[in-house]
Amino acid sequence: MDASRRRFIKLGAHAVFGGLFVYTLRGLVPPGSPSTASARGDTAYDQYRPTDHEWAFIVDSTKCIGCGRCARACKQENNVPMEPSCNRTWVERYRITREDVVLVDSPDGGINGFPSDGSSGEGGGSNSSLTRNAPAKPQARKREEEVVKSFFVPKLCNQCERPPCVQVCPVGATYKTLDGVVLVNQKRCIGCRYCIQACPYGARYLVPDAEVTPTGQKHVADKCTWCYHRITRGLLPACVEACPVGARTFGDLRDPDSAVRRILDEHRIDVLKPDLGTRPRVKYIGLDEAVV
Amino acid sequence: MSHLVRAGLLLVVVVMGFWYAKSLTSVVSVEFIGITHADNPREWAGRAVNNQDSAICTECHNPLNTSWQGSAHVPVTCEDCHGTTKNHIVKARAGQSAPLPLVDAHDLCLTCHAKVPGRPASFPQVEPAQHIELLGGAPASCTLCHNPHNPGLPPEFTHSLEGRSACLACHGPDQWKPLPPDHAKRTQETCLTCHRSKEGR
Repeated sequence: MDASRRRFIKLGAHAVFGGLFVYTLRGLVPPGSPSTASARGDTAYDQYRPTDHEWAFIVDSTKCIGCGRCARACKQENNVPMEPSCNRTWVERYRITREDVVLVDSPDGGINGFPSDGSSGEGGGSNSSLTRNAPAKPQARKREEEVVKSFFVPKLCNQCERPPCVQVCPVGATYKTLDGVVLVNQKRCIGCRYCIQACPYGARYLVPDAEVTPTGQKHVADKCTWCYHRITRGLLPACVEACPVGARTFGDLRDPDSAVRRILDEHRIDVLKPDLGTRPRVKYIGLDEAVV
Repeated sequence: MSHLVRAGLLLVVVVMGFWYAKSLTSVVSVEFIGITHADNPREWAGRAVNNQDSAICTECHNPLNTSWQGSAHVPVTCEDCHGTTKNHIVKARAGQSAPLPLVDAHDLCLTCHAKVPGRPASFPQVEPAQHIELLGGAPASCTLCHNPHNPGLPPEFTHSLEGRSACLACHGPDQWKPLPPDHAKRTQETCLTCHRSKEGR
């Protein structure tokens, strides 16, 4: 009786520690190791080690001219539906009047540029009027005309270090990769829109019912991936490539000579809504108090 | 006492066993990629690249590219204006006709260069109506005067403006250093719209 119990415990201990040993060895093999991956035949990703990169995105809003080439290039590159509600990246214009009324417009996400007459773009999009001190009145038209400060703010998914969208997903469909990019596993997504509600930056959208994703899913959440298919091939995201004034910079913080590293070292940097504790990976130069 | 130690050890072993079994079957952390998403980044990474690098255009369009590469428009990619070139390249390589028309070039220039509230003041921009008026009201197409692949800027003048306010006194049609023939309709007031001095305006 006594001997058999000892034997049982000994056997159990061996099994557990043996298992732990095997598990540790398994952890030493990187996820995208060539031995398992080459059989699937995608060479670019086989060379890619997510743990070797820490991607960062810097937007210099003082340079942005609001031409919307970024938003257009993004739609072309990522097969984003042309509907105004579907944007992986877009450009907002902030106009602040003498009375401290903040006017924000982004006609069609800015893909056709901005109207030159100073009025808010008529063509749909997200037009809104925010007020910091007094509520906007209908007769605010005159006040609106006296714009004292105006500028463009390009926006995209912030790829937060603490992403609220990942926290709320009830099926675990959205997750963080080891290089910091937040992705959606659209095979798991059930299209419940929780993540769209949870994102404080409005960076997510639901693929419209008439559309199908390139991998064949319908009615699923979608968002900016920092062009994951490009950055894993060593290319720049499409919006960075398209920007004619260099307002967008992308790079690897692990590389001490990278442009993003240099900009972070040399400039005063801000993020959107820092008080929410999401720790965005998109950093801004030249933000204003009015920007939300 | 030793039976308590044995029971304690057994408990530790059982807990570790549970922990190990759990780590095999569930996501490591709700935030991080676990074995359940192991193939998903590969799917995203495997998507097709649509937008082409401008360098690929040099393969065929070389003289055009040389002038563009030395110009102020070099940060503007080919696809910024010409749209997606993927089909164009595939067709052209197969020897088929592959036109790549520019839709509405006038509006295209103004997308960047119209004077719009919010645009940084240092960026070159024009008030479209005023710009046309300055030039005598005629040209509706920007490319009539400006080469889109190498826009350049009108020459700077080398002398000071100090005490020289009447440009046409020296640069009038019959004067000492006449303005070029295509400047016929321009007046005294319009010179400084395009030309700058080296010391600024």
